Amino acid sequence: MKIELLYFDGCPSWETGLKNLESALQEEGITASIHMIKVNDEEEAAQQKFLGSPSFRVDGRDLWHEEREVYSLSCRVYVTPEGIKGYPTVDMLRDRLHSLAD
Amino acid sequence: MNNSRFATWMTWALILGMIWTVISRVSPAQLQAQTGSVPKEGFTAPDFTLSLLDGGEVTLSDLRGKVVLVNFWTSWCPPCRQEMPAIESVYRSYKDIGLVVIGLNLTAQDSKQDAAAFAQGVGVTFPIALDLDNSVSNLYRVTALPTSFFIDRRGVIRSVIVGGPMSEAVIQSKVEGLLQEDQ
Repeated sequence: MKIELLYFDGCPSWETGLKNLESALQEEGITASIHMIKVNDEEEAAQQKFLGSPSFRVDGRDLWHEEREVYSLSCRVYVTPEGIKGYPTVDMLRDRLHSLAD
Repeated sequence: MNNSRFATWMTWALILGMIWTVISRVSPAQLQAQTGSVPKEGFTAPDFTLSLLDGGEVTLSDLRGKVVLVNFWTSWCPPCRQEMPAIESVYRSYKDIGLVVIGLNLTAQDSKQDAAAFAQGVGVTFPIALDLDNSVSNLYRVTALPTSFFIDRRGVIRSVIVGGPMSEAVIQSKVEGLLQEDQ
């Protein structure tokens, strides 16, 4: 299982996103390491089909996939049980990781 | 059928086809909004009322007849910060001929103080609306910041830009296109 976290420095919420991903992996008993991918500019954003920072991919597939016409540097937000946040909760990540295993 | 009659028949078919193409053409101003309020291009923009940073409130549906740019942003989002001067510049150029900009701050993910300090620093003169409980951000299904909705005079979303920063030329081009349409 290849796990990637895509981010860019400007959006500080990727750090919480990383912590939550680490917790979710641990709680799901997944030992795969996290590959951090820093997106530096618009060109890289387009190449990576970057949906915003932070984004989470497993085996190349975004955990909250959506189609966009244009890919650019942006701060991604997630609808969590506590409202819109700059990162998904541990439980949200666990659910997505769990559904991949089914 | 000889060649002459066939050519005549084809000519008439071509002429009728061209006439049909012209009369059935739908101009942008005649575009009808698809049923319902959905935060997508071609649909009526979902209505909202929010408090403004400087006091008072704004209701989107009160702005019918104007071209409206709704820009979702936070003060900690770098591309949001980068595009704000361009939005301000376009606003100043077109506000007197029908452009309204609403800077819709996700205040639940930001702070009123930070939003105010940033807006003041940039010299923003358009209204900053405060989404204190994420209700409008949820309504518009915002998944990334910044996100901008360009809404025509009839309240229909005509363009959505997710991410940024938008250049001044892009904003200007979209705004000009909508301002030129008939009401």
